[in-house]
Amino acid sequence: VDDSDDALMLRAGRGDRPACGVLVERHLGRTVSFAYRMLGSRSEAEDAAQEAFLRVWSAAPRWRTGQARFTTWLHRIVMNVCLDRIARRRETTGDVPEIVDPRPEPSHALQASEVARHVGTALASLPEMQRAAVTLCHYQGMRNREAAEVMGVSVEALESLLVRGRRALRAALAGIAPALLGTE
Amino acid sequence: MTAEDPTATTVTLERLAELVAAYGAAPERWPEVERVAAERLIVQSAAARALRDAAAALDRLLDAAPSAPPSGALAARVLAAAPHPRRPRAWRIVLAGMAPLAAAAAVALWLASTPEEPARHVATTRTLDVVVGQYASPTDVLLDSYALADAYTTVPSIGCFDSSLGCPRIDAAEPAAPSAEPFKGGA
Repeated sequence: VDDSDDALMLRAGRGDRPACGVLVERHLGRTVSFAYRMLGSRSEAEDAAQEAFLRVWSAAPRWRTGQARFTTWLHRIVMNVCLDRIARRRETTGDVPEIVDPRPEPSHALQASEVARHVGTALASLPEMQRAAVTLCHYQGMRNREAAEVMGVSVEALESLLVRGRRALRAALAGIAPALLGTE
Repeated sequence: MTAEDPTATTVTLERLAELVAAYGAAPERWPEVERVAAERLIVQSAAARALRDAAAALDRLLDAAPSAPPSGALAARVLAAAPHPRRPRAWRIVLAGMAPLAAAAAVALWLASTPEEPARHVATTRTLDVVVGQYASPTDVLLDSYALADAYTTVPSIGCFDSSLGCPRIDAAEPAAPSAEPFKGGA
């Protein structure tokens, strides 16, 4: 039995519930992870993932083999859902990403959980497109071409977003963990 | 040399700096076409290794970022919204049942409303019949019984006086034609 994403989507379009189950099992984790890094909130990330899968289910009956790679298409949906939510959040609350305080507290040994929190905050402070580029390539493990396709930009533009994003992260984290970054 | 051939691609120190600045220290994240050359440069150059190590430190920090595994409840909610097997709807069943009736009605209507053959077509056909009849068997006229009887009853009327030969008996009172005198032979 062909259990490729393509074949599973065709079966899902015919109402094959086990095929839907395999797709969820295979992709929900990465979907939530991507949404979480884009939105910075677990509950919002789960809502975004659910919304993305609703779009997947509604598109499944019209799925055509070879049309697009499923993971690329799914990530694009998730990214659009997240960008919509960020835009709505900004419109309603005027929310701007928190800027990480680069000043380290003297003689304070950072715990792993604190490092994680700082990294999460630094990531959240990036502009959306830089955040999406870093998330797709670093956390989602995508090749540059696929990440560029998800974002609808050229490979060169993606590379530029990555360079600026990582430079900003390094600057933000240099104050938190200079030893870890070798900037002491 | 093609740009897509990894073994033929060269990577300078400057390009390696761009690669690690964009993609980090892990070669598997680098563009495939430049990977071999970049790794070769790292083996050969201490400056290249320094660039790689600086990027690796940032990678390690990024890897410390929190993750969010999906909850079981989310998977259940997502699956609950998945498509159900398609079942024929009531109106489709009714339509399917009515289809043969509709087809029969359509045929009956078509038969009832079909006009007779156009007159022009009939005329053409009949004309053709006549023409075919005349030329298809021309010997019919020659074999006509009337003509045969006529031929048998026709006998020579000149120089034949022997009724036993079928010559018509000629009344003596009738004036015989001069050529009717029998030939006596000799002088």
